Amino acid sequence: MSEQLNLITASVERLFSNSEVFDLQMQLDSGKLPEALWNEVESSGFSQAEMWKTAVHILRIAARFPISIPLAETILAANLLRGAGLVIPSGVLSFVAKDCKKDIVISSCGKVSGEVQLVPWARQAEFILVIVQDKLAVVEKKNCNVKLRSNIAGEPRDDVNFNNVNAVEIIDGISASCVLEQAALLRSAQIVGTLDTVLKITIQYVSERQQFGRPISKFQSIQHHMAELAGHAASASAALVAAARNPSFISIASSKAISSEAATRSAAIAHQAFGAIGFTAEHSLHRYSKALWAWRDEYGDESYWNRKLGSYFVKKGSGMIWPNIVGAVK
Amino acid sequence: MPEGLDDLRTEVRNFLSASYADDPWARNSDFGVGFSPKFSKELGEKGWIGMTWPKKYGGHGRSMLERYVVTEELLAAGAPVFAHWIADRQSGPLLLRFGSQELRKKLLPLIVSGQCYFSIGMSEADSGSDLASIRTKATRNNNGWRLNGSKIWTSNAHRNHYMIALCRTNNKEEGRHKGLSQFLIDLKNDNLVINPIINMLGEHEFNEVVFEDTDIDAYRLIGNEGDGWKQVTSELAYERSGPERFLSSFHIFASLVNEIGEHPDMYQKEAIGRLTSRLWTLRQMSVAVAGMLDAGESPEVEAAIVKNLGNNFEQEVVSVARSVMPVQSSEYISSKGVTFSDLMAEATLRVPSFTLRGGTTEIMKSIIARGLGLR
Repeated sequence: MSEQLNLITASVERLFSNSEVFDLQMQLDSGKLPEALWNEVESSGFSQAEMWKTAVHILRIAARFPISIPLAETILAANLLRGAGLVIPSGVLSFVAKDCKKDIVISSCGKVSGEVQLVPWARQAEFILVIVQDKLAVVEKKNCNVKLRSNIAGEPRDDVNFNNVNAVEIIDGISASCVLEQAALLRSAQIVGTLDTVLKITIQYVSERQQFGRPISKFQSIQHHMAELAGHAASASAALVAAARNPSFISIASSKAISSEAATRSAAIAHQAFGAIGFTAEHSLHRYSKALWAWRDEYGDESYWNRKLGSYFVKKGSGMIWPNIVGAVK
Repeated sequence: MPEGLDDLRTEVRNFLSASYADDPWARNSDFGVGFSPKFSKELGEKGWIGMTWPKKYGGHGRSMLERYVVTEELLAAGAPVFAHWIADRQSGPLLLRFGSQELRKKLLPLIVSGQCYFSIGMSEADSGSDLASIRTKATRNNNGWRLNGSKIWTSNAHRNHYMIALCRTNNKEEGRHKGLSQFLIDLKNDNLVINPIINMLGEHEFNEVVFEDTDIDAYRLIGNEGDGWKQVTSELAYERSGPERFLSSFHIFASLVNEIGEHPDMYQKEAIGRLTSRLWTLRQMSVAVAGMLDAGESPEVEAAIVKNLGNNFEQEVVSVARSVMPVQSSEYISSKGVTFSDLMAEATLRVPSFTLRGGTTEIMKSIIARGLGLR
């Protein structure tokens, strides 16, 4: 498996580092999908990668580059379609998952109605998978109204009105809360990949930047900041790897809570270390920090997942904490 | 964790509940509290001391991960493990790596039986974080070595059998890390003085061990003369990454969950969840380091990260508990906390040591920074 992951690492890196990062960013800033790169990602099969280990690994490596594409969303939707025995269409896929019927309803005759905010990459998607409680409806995007919006990192997060559209397919027995857990873990993977790069470029910067006649890395206060940053990166990475190996409510909730918290602290430390240059549009740091700030909140921030864990253990009682931590519940 | 460890885990849990029912010990997940030769001997009989050591020295030839399962279950249950803990964790492995055949044959089977306990002889009054500045001297004499100087913060020197002391054997060599050597000290029979130091909970755990023309035989030198620094460093990876670095206040965490009961408010839910997600993650990291040790690597930096984050967590448990479940501070009475407020009083007094023992937070951060290439 690890050999296979190394091969994937190499080919994802090759794909992304060959691209003209600056041009791609300009396209992204105007809300466009970098078509050429996306086509390569699709033809390499990455957009249909299998959950969990492979998908998590690909997303982590891809997030080391300051280019965002609808890879997590397409992978998740493709896995849902594959699981339901449906054909996976080409093109961008997105999804909406709700564990209550407040905003959106799938009627018994297969019509989808309601409006959902902040649907990732809706404007580029060919199909949107709508999961409400235990039902999945596949909807053609072209039949929906899409209002363009974006998250703090500039990624498309559109409002979609489903207009009582006829679903192309309806599948029963899918759990919206499971889909939300999957989405949370994929965002964790993206956070961890981003942290890999933030740690790398911050180490590099503090080793090169000179003040008072020496690199600022020689100052103990900087060293301690960097040790804290490394601790956050290592924690988020360990949690992600363990959750991908053994996905469960506890491992996924822990992974997203830890990576969201790590995102917050790491972005703060990196910006402090980079000083004014890191606050400019020209420097790439903000590509990473904005992604961290967006992704830490999507599919549940740390408070959300921690409260879920807390509720779970209060019901189970103190005697069940340890067995659950070690994953050996009798 | 690989499969196949579940049976061992169940066996340990069954043993612990039987042992507790038979003769209840004060539950306290801080490894440095419960000292019970009776319990250690029983563990030895179960084959849970020296688990990873070769059979020819009485060990059990098991994996580091098997040992990990046993130690984490002991700590989570709050078992009294301190008597054999240091010998099993670091003195035994040190003797295995560097000790003479004679010392290994003599001491390892005794340790394995749970009847031979070791102290750490590193810190001195003027050498805490700056360990390489130690001044206790060992000079050659006719039959072996003569020691002068003193060691401090020596846990349980008054009831353990041996100490491994780091001494200066050559003043003239260049470099602070050179000219250091490790010696086996017989705490019961050597000519030395053990002075008690009472800690702020009123317990006698620390000691000062004073050498005044203390003569020891040549065979007591562990490893090569002058290799002391290298040997000590290898000991520390074992010392720093284990479950005792994040479980010391697990007992408070569990009690907090009990105390909160079935109707938590939003802050209490979040607090319990936050402690759970951090504990779960720390354990994953610590297990990963155990896997690296198993593979023969020396994960010094990884161990420092685990220790640093783990100790912070241990302290945070107590401060989080205080913020979501207020208690009036009650007088600390050493004979077993019963109420939550008793436990909190004890924990409040104990937590300052967590970020000191085994290397301070500041030293851990320096080691991490060096690992990142910044120093």
